[in-house]
Amino acid sequence: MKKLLTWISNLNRIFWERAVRSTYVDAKSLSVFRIIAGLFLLLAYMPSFSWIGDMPKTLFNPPVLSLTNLFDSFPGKTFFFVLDSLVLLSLICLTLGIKARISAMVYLVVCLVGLNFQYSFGKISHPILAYVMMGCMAFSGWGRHLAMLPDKESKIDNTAKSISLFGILICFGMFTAGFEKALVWVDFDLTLNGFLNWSHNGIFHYYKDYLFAPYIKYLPTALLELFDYTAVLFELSPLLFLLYSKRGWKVWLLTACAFHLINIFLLNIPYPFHFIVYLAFVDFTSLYHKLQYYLSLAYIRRIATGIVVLLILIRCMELVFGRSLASIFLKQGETMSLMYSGIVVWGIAIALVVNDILQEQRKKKYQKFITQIDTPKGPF
Amino acid sequence: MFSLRFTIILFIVLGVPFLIRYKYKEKYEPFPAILLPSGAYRASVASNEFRVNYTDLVAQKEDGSWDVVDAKLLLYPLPANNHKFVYEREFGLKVPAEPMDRRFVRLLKSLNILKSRNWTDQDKERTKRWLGRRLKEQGFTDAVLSIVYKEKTVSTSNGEILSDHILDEKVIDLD
Repeated sequence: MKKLLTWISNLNRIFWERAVRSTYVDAKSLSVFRIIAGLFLLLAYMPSFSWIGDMPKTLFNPPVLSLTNLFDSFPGKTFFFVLDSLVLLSLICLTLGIKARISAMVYLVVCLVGLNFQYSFGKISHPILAYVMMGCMAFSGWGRHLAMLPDKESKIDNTAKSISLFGILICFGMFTAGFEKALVWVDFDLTLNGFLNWSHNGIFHYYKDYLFAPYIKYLPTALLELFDYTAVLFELSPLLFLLYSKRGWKVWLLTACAFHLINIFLLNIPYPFHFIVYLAFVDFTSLYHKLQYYLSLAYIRRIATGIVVLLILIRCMELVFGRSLASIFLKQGETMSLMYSGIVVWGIAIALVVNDILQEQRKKKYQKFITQIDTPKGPF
Repeated sequence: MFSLRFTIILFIVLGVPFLIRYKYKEKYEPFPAILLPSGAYRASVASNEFRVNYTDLVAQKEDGSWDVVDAKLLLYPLPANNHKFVYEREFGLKVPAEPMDRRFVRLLKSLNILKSRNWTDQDKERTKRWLGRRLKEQGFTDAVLSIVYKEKTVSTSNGEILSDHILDEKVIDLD
């Protein structure tokens, strides 16, 4: 029994050591990621809940296993206005690095409360990993650098633990999507196809027939079947890549970004929220040094402050007037704009991950070269 | 590193919601939980037809004619993926049916997790007025709204609608 326990304990140690080895990025890199994630959310995907307060009470129908089931109805408008104000405030603090640890936690808690009410209309959506990222990163030390009011060193901060835990949570999330697909899609039956069902449903139910979506019907059956197996393999394999090596994990991240880009072209599904999920593992250390230099220049600092202030003003106006400024420029539900922005987002993500993989390769080659020079070759 | 105890607790916390969704599908999907959508359905490759179930909202114009309401505009800014659930409950105006008397449901009811919400007449009246106001904005009368459940068969080769028929219809009196 004791032997078994020791074996399990060793297995646990090896598991987490491998997870840390594959996912580790230092706090300086994470501070750059913090700014990228903050700007991404402020600019494009800031959650908003004020609209819930305007909906009729009778639409309140929370899922059975949800915290909102403890409530009898939607709270008043003021409640949701406070939630939105806190989301905005926490994102501003996060981007500027004003006590980023507590800001990330406030953002997470407030968003989870808001989402609980948002999903009380009946449909649970699944951008959960973007929120989990905030919870994990809050304790990664990402607020210690490039920050206006840096977080102090704390016992509760642990970069290695935070980032490795986040990696494992991504793997589990993917598993939950892939497991049921595997049971149904890996059928070795060329007459039924899962990918085709997504395609038909998108085109004929949701009228998503943009880009290459209408041409899927011309693809050979064998290729469609291959799509099914590839999707299952992609969703069930991240843990293997993560446990294999750092490079393996980066290759999986690259595949994930490519998967989302292909989904836009073929199925018209942009899923931009995961941009800030995968980029957490990219090493931004070189960008950190550049940012540190540029932010020491007065005129760059002024421009950066101007951009952030403009973003804040826009978001404050939206909060007060209850209308998205994007809706002035875009028609409601304009699918093509979403597609194009998705293509840009995933294009950038692919470029960043590829650059990261190449940089690591160069670093390895350089280290090998240094070792060769340092090693004495003969007796003289 | 994380302790063995932490790892075990982590996998229980992650695994329980996953098992609940696996067993009961979306019906009892917990939130918050780390679950991503699977969408594990299949379509026939050989078939040139695809069946789509959809719902139309129909209301009466001022001139007495009937027309399809823009549902997105009617319920704006509610995300469209919620519409199905809102229609199922007839905008909350329907008297909720008692859940089936199964063991899990009984347990949830006894723990006061599962509640059947009966809205007051005042709440229902407010919803009717809200719907009426929004129908008027689209040029409809605020007297009646019909939820029409339909099924269409589409040709996958050219998108032509081969058949389109009504499965069910619920008429909501907004007066």
